[in-house]
Amino acid sequence: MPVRHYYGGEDEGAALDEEAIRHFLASDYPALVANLGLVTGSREEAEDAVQEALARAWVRSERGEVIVALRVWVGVVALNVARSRFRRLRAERRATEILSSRALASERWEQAEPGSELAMDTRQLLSRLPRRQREVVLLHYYLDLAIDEIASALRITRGTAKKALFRAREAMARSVGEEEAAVTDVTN
Amino acid sequence: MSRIDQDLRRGLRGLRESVDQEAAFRGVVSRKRRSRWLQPLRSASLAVLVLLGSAGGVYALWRVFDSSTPSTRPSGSVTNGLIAFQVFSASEGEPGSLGGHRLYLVDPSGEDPRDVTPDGAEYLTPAWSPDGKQMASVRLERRDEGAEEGIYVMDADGSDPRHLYSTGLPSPVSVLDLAWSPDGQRIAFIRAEYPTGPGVHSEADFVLQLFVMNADGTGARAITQPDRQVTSFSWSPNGQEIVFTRQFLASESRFGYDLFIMNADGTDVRRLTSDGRSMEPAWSPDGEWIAFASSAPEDSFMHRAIYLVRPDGTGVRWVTADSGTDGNPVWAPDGSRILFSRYGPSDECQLVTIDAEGQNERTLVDRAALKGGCASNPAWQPVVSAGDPPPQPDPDDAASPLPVPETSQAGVSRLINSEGGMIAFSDNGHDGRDIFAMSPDGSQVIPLVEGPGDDLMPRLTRDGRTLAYVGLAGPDALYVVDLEDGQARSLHLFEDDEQVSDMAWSPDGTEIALVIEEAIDYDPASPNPRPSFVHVLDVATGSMRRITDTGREHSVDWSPDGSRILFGRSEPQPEGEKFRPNDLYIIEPDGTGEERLTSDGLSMQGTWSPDGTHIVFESYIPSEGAQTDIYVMNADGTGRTRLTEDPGMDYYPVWSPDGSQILFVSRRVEGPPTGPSSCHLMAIGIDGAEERSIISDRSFICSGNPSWT
Repeated sequence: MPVRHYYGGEDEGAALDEEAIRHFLASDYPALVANLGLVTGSREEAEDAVQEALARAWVRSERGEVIVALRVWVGVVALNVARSRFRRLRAERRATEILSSRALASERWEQAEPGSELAMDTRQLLSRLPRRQREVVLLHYYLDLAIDEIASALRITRGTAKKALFRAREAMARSVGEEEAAVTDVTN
Repeated sequence: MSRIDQDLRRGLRGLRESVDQEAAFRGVVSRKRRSRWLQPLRSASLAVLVLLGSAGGVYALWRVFDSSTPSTRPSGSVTNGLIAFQVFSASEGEPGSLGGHRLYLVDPSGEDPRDVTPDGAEYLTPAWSPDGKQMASVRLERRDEGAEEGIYVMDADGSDPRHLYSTGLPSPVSVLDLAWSPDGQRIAFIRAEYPTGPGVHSEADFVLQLFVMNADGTGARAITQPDRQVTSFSWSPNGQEIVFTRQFLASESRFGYDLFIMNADGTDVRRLTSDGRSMEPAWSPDGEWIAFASSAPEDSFMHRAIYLVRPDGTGVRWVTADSGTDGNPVWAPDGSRILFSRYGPSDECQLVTIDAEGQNERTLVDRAALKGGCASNPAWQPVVSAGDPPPQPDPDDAASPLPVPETSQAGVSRLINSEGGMIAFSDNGHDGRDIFAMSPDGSQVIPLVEGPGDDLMPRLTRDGRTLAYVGLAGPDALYVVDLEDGQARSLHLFEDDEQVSDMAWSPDGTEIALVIEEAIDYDPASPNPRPSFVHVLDVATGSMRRITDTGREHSVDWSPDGSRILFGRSEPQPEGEKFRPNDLYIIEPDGTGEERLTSDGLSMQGTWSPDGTHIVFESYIPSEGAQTDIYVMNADGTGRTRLTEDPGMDYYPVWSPDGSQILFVSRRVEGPPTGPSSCHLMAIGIDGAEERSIISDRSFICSGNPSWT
């Protein structure tokens, strides 16, 4: 029985070939890059991580494994690829912090495709959150993972995942003046 | 659902980046080529290109064998027979797109590779019987309802396959690596059970157990616990022990692999390696050596090489050093050569032989010889001449046929005791950043820490006998290594999201001062960093105390007499200014007596001279953009002198043990500030003379963070 990688239940999973990969690049890739870019702060990093995840999915499929809900699987794996790189960069950033990449990262986003006004607002809302909170927001609101699945995907405790999502909502609600949203339980 | 939830869902799903799909496709294909070689998990159903261990082909030789150890090998000499291997081809086999695995034989010369697959099913992972007359193999038959796997045995030419063991159908079970015991009475194999049903499954949830059954397929039983996670193995030539690879979760997204030896009944498990990247062991026919493959990192293509280690854990050395990914080592039955699979970055796929000294490498088969198919999992047939009396050991063979290499431990001792001391630094290693030791002239470099994941921020004690560093393989942790005996221990586990930004030993080696950024939520839009404080950690007890209170500290060093700690502190970034002001301060280790040493707002990352009279530090040059250079001043903050004037950034200054030179990292940027840069480890005399590059033959990572003792 082939290994099945299961996140959500959007589809039954199909073997990946060049046509399927190209289809994914045309359909889901632009949105996945945009969303992961909100977490990483860099479109280049996001593209790199999504391509890496897609390559892994392709290899697994060729080995006979089945990936259910490819969009979600690729999103989760890409996020974890980006996280590993971020941990190293963070640990080593002392060497290059003097160059203050923060300002340059913001400039990059301003030059990026703006999309709709709504998209810009979301982008700005998320950019004010700590990275961990941006990660759980992506998993919960874009990839539709529940708290347990978020905890599993990020290998953090359920409590940490829940707390991060709650705080993210709280902060964003404050930003848009929706106080009541913050107190709603988001654990389901 | 509240408005914020709706807005977020709608907003995130509305996001799109305009992308170059063709470039993205090329990127995926390129990454696929790299990653397919690097997947650590093995499975018969997915053993396309994976690197199974030394199944079969390893057989006891008569020579150089401990006569006190009972041997079950047949009498007679053993010579090298044919080589069996599996070939995966995406365009051949059934059913089509999933590719097929076939069994091949080839002469040891590489001549005449031939397909000997017995029937329409797929066959993988051949293993020879000790007399070379039979071959066992994993048979895989794909059906609509799943794949049925089993172990079959056949004649040496691939004919007459007979069923021995089946996983049943449908079954979440695969048979991985397999090998005959040297006495031919048993067959050991790895049974992998996959999780089923809905839920989030990762490879960490798989159960990989070593089983042993009689050679007729009866009496299969597990000899390792389910949590042992065995991924490859090899019998000792006397059949009494088994060396195996244990898989463990080294970080949130990557496995680590270490080698262990146990008795053949599964008892008395002893660790052989602890670097987290050793796998695919193959015991040499004379019992003296174990060949194995190093691991490769998960995220990028790196080399995988074949190594040797003695069964007692000593004498580790390289055999191969190619630019490919080497794995699956097996020994020639006469012990003269090692056969392994090699994958290259451009999809090359070869079986290669090399002698145990690492010489005379020869390609046996490649894709061209196999109609584009990829060869792996080789097994070398022993040919036993039963009538021949066992030859007497040649006196020259009494010693190991292999030269005894110098271990890195000996290298460390030599460096510690050499004139000029030893420099420790982090740089790109086999699996992420590793820590290296180097002679001050750069002529000798040896690895100190080569664990999985990133190892950063090495700090040597004044006597050079203890190393502290930060490891990121699992949770961020502070490790301390006794360089005399190689023993390592984790001293402190940092909380999730805590971050060490600098650390320094007390002169007597009993305490470590650290700058730790706190694990709190902070506003990433703020130009100011997260709160970070200086702490002092007691090495013996592991207890920690905080000694500063502003939360803006960022570098630390201990005075040579142990009475004071030098640290850097930044001020909040003024409106409209490009940089945060930074100055140097001193404080006593108990947190009292804080004094400000500089007040120009440009000074940071100071370290004390060995005699305590001077401080070397970095300083911004405001008129020159982001440039920093190295300065030296008296320990009271007076008498500042500029040491370097390089067109880039000079930083991380540390003193030589004799106080005559300063070591630093120099980052030269080409084009804009974020353009390509190359970094070099440099040294300069304390009088500003004789600036030189220590490592000149290659680029040094920009975060190398050296320590010199």
